[in-house]
Amino acid sequence: MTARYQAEKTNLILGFVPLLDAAPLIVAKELGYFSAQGLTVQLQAERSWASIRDKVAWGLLDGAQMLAPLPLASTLGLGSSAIPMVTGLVLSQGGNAISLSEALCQQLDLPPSLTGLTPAELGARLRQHLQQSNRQLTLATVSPYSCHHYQLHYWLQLSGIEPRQVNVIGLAPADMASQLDGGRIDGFCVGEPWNSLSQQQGSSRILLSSEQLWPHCPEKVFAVTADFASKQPQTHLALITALLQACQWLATPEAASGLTALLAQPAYLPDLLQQMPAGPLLNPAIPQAFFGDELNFPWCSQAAWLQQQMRQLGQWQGPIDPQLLRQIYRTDLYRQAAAALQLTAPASDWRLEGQQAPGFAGGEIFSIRNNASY
Amino acid sequence: MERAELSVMLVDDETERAQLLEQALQQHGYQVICRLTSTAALRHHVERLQPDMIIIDMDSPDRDTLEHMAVISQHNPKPIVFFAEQDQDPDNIRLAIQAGVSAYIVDGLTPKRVKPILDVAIARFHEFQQLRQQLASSQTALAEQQLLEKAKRLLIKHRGCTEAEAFQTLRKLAMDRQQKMTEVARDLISLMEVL
Repeated sequence: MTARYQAEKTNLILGFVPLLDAAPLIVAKELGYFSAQGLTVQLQAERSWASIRDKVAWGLLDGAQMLAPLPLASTLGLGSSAIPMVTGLVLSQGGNAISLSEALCQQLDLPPSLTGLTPAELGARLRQHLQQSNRQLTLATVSPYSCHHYQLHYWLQLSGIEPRQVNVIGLAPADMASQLDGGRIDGFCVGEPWNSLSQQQGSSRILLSSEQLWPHCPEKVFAVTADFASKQPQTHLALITALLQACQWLATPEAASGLTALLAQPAYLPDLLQQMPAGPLLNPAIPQAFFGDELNFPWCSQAAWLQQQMRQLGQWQGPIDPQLLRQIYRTDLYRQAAAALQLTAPASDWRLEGQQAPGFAGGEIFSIRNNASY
Repeated sequence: MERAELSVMLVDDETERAQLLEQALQQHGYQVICRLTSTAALRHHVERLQPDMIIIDMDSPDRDTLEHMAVISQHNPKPIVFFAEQDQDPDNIRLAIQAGVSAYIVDGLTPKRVKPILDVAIARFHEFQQLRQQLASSQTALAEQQLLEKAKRLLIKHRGCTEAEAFQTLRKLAMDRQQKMTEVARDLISLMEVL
């Protein structure tokens, strides 16, 4: 039942950042989903999101795993030249967390188990501590155009912590633990396995997961340039279909036992996996998922929510334009790939964000009608 | 008023390449104020030294740190921007990216002042790439020559033939099997070393 596309280009190089949520690309290659579509794919590890963006933008990579907001940021020209990009597939949801240094956690006098404490309650403790000690915190994220970055700011705002009390900086994930130990940062928001690793080393404690803040938010997407998508439409569909199949496999029982061995291969993330604590690969405290009708669908309403975050942080001063979002988050391509795999897809491109339980930590309902500028 | 001389910071794990570039920039009259390998303290160095331009290896993990500093905020009195934002000539950008050069510049610098420095960086990165490739290919050539010599010696020893005959044997095997002589030599060596 494998779909047959007339791929225009069959030899491809795709980029990924060595994180657990690079899994769909690695699975699609190693389990032969790319080759079943007649594609020969080489996976190339990249060490920064800036590098992923630039190499895709200038054709050194055909496509890549990307932070969900990055195709939008690139299209808008935030932090680089404006290169239109598109995504027809969400690769993963969740997997981020906010960790604070062990030293700060002790000052906050947190209970041994944080279960049952809401993000707002945890944030209130931090706010009180900052008010009493009158100090400024330094927190790190990786890319300024990432869900990590927006989620961290969202939580700070939800907690009533004023921007002047926190300095948010950028750091490579591998440097976070040493900077914590050196007392140069007080915490961070990053993707797995970095929170678990740092906690295992005794440097920090996982405070809350992205799932507790934004439960339905796309985390990584598969993106190509708009130019690639229009010149190689069949190849693009073949890639999306193969990756969607990989996501589907990631939800099966075989994945629970077989994924570690795939990721541990030398070309992917062997060093990280060696340092991982024993037990399940995916930390149950930081929910991370790869497959679901609504999960893999590139909701335009989620894209609007992300653009709203860009506006709130002053990264984007213009309006939210639903037409533009539709050109970037290509629900039509997802529907074609899903149909090829006999999977269902949502009929609408937009939904009320925050309405599905559980909602946003702040309880808001985000509607494009109230936020779009036509 | 722009200062006459631009100050440049280099961030590169390839120390030799960074040295090459530093010398070249100095010859062109530019001041290299700091040369760093990958560093968690990059932000601190940038804030302290306030370079006009940062040239950084495309593949450096520290690029996301600079992207953060490029986001305009009240904490950064001197915002820096990715050079492509100003330099709208796609060919220049493509050349730089292919060479592995990325650059961040202080907001407000004109492309005219930035381009000569970028050109020097691109040229030096290319030069370094070629040196690397030459080195790699001469090392391969040497290794291949050594393989052939070893296979010949083993043939001479085991079959009591002359060097010319050993060479002919290898060449004939390569032609019959449609393989490279080095591949045949490798197979022969592994076979004869078991004997």
